[in-house]
Amino acid sequence: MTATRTPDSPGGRWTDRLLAEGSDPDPRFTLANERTFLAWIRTALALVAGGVGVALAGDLVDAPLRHLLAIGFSATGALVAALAFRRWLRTERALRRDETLPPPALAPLMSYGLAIAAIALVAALLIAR
Amino acid sequence: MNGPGLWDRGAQPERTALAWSRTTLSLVVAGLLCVRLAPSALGAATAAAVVCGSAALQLRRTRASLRRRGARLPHGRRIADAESVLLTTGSTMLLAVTGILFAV
Repeated sequence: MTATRTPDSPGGRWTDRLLAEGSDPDPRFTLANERTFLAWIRTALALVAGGVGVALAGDLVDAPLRHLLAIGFSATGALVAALAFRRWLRTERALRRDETLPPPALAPLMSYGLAIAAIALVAALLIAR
Repeated sequence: MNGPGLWDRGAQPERTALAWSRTTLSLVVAGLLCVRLAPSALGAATAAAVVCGSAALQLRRTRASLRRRGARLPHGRRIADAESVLLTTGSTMLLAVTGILFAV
């Protein structure tokens, strides 16, 4: 696990460029980091699907609020995807340099964000009644 | 690395490959909803093509990645795959932007 650059680099140019420093960590950590990234991507996709679902629920929520909620959900999905990539990269780099892992910025954002979104959605449903 | 027999080299890559498959499935579901939201037939066709293309690409990369990792892990070589991660982030953000454009 000490070889940093093997001649037959697997990931290609981008992997070489993004993960140039440090040495290869325990492969279990790399795989776990990738699975965490995928879980975040699924969360982002669920947010996009939620936004599209709200946009399609024409008879439940009235027009301006519906568009606003749909755009908010989808935009949060894009943001979560971008932050998930950033977090994957920072964690992978920290693992390679044997440093402390980056703090979890995404988790509080998601819990507070979802709470606000849920309240907004309930309010929207009540107003539409 | 670790002593022999400390952990099984097959299960972790397989579990990661399954996580990739689940993510691809989520992409298809969110993408189909986007297709349903499209304001025109042309928009729906484009969205469907993009979603099918990204899903096919992800499935292909998942298979290739699982095979490659199975070969590389026993030798202690690098298994990180930044390109798949970048591609997945890109397609998710593209889908989110499509959803926003269709919802406006």
